[in-house]
Amino acid sequence: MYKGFLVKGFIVAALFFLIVGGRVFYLQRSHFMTAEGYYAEGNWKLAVREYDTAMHFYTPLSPYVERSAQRLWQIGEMFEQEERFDWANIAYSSIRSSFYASRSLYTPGKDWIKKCDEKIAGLNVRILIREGSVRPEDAASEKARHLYAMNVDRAPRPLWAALAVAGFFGWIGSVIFIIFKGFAHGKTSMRHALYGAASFALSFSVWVLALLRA
Amino acid sequence: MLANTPSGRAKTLPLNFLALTAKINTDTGISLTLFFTVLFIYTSSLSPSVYTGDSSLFAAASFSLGTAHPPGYPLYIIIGKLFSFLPIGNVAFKVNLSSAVLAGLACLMVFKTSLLLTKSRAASWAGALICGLSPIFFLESLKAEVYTLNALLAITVFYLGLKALKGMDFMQNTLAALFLIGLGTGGHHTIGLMGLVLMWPVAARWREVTWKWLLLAPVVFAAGTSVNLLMYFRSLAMLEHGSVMLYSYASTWQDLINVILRRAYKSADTIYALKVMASPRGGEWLTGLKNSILNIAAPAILPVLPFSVIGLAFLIKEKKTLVYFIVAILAWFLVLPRIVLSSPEMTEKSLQAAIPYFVPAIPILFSLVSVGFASSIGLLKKGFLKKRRLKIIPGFIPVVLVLLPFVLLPFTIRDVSLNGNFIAHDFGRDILTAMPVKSLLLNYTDNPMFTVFYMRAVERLREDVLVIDTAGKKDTYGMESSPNWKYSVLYPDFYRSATSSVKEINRDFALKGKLFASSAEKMTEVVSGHYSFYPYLLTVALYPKKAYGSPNWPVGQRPRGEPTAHRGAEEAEMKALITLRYRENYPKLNYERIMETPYRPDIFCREMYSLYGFNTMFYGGLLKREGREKEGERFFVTAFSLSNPRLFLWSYVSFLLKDGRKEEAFALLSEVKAGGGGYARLAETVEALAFSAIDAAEAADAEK
Repeated sequence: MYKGFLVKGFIVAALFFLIVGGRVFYLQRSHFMTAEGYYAEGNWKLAVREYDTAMHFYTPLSPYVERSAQRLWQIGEMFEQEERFDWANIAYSSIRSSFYASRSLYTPGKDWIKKCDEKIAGLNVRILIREGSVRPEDAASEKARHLYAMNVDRAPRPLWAALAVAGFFGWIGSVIFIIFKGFAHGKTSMRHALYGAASFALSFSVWVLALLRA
Repeated sequence: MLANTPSGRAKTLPLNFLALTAKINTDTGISLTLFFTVLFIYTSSLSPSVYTGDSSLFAAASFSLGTAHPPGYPLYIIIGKLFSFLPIGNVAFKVNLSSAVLAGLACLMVFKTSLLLTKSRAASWAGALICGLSPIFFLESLKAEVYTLNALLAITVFYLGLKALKGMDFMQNTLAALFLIGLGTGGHHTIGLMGLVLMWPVAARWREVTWKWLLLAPVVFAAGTSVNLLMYFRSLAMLEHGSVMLYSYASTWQDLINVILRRAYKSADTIYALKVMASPRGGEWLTGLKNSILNIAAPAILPVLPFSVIGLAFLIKEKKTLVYFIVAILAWFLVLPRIVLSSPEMTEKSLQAAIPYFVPAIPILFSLVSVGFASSIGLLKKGFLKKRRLKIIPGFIPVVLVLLPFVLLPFTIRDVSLNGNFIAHDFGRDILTAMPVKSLLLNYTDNPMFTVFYMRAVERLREDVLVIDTAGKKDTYGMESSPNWKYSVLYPDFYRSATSSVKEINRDFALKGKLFASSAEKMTEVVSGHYSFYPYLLTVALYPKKAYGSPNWPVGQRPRGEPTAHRGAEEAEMKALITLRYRENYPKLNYERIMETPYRPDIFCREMYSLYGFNTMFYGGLLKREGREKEGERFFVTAFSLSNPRLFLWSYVSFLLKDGRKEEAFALLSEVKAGGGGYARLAETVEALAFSAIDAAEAADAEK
């Protein structure tokens, strides 16, 4: 019985990932190809938009993620050389926000994010100096403040968040188990009811603890 | 039993497509085929990132394991969080996918319910598939929203109730249904209507109600409602380490109750809604019934409407089941509309807001449609056709009847699909991208507030900008988007003066030309009382109504001296700075992609289209004033292709009049009129409005 259940579960999961993963990869590839077209034409604005979109359809191990990030970095550096700091900022921010947007149980592209933080903070300060809001001698401290805001992150911790979700489905499952096994066919099965109650207490506690800690 | 009626033997029909499904010898196989067919269509049509309205808020809150607006929707949030763990795509896409999967599961439950009623796999499969692709249900399956979750819970409760009604494990099924209703309070509160519906199986099988049942029923219901504790514990977590984005803050039991009962919403307060429901005024009940049938039920099942009637007619043989369906239909189309649709003059906005509330009723209606399918096929085969010896007809008539709605499906998919729709994604990004470094954005209204929430909480875009949520908070600050722990280092002055008045805190930003509001109309009194505004990209820029003697901006040193009455020169200087920024930053907007996005008629999308249209007109006007006539003209044309000029032409002309640029306004209208066609008529209407506005302004001046 369990073997059959596992086989069915595997088929369902495989089909699910095939449909969803296939779609995501297809979208990533098509946006990347469009971006390459704009890049070849020198239409930087639309190229940035399309590389950014390609990265938003993150697929693990896909070559297009890295290649999009590299292209965006090149465009950013080009804008920087032309002293179009705000446009360079857009290109670097695209890399950074695309990786953040693709977070799951892990954050992909951490090295890229770190490199972009440096660039973006530096560019922000250069823009502020140019407009006269910051004195050049305060540049280093101002950059440190920008970096602080960019580095501090208190998004839910993945492990605790995963435990919160697992605990939640655990106590839901326990109640259903109690209802369907503990009171099957109008008769009370104390053994099943107690198993269910213990499982409920455990998973509910995990849920609460994880919500507080995540 | 219905299975003994002609419909029950529909699977024996010699029809190819029926035989095809009948060959799959297990219900599991058919269920999987159905689920993956629906999922494939949904995934191909899914919104690629955030969508308009609350969708971005749900994506951001799911990622943060936080809460959405009252009642917080913790059940959806935790399911969204589960999907956000998938290692593919972006967070918004994954949360949108959760709605699609829940919708697919709801279709499965339609299949199971229909199978229980008809024993016809083909009819059940057809009914469930068409349900999944009925326009209202389909659209809600493509974005982060709570309604498909509500639909799944409602149809599951209905299925369990039906089993109990048919004498199958009364205790288990009713207790499970009660648990799901309790759990559903962590989704949309309309699930409570299923409590009314469930009363019928309990009443019909009252002999099976035991003391044990009476004891356990409230316990399992309460166990389900404990999902709402998520809001309390996450609020405590935020107090502890300030980490989550909570739209509904509930760190005390009283706050938790207030959030669950939506106390902040006044007319949408749950207790108020229950009081309305209890109101005996008959006229409003009938108006609600009429509104819901005409605007929701009928359009939802239009291509298969006759089958639902046939389904009801065939259920006469099973009186208890018939009553069960009638109770469900009355709960959703009489009781609910009394609360949300009983106004005799429905506005487009109120109708659009109310329609998704009825999504859970659609699977129940389609279960009835499946009964109609099965019954019709059975009737044609065994009764009508056989008796009349019309041997040629059975081969295609039933096929045509059941396949006819499928012919319409490609059109539905084309009209409803959100594939390639980046409008909300680009809108949120563009607002932030256009902000100068270290500026302050006061955020009002759902579209800008929620899309920016997502861009900041998940994508962490433009973390140098302070974003303050002021909606519903009068003149105090909501710091969800710019928490102290993150921004007090970058903005020490702002956080030091957090106890001083709003106008004083904003003034420093305003004097540097770095204060913005997402909407001119929704600004709070203190803000609108102290600041004038001028259009900026998708927002408005604010500047003080009373300036200091020497504002000395944009250098950014706080001016000395007392505020004085505005001098025209200073105001002009301020507008010039804003215009300069506008000129520099307009090309950063993603207006090209908005042009490529298929037009969607809902009010949230329209708001975005109109803002892009207005801003493109504004930019075109700027270029023309610089003497770049042709380029300016090109952007006017772009504005007209971006969105229907009905949405923005009057607001642009009205802005020109207020800005003292009458000639420019009338020259533009003459140009549009010269183009002829529908736009000419629109220009005439706008011209008439402009004349009335000028007359009204002159009369007001004369009075002064």
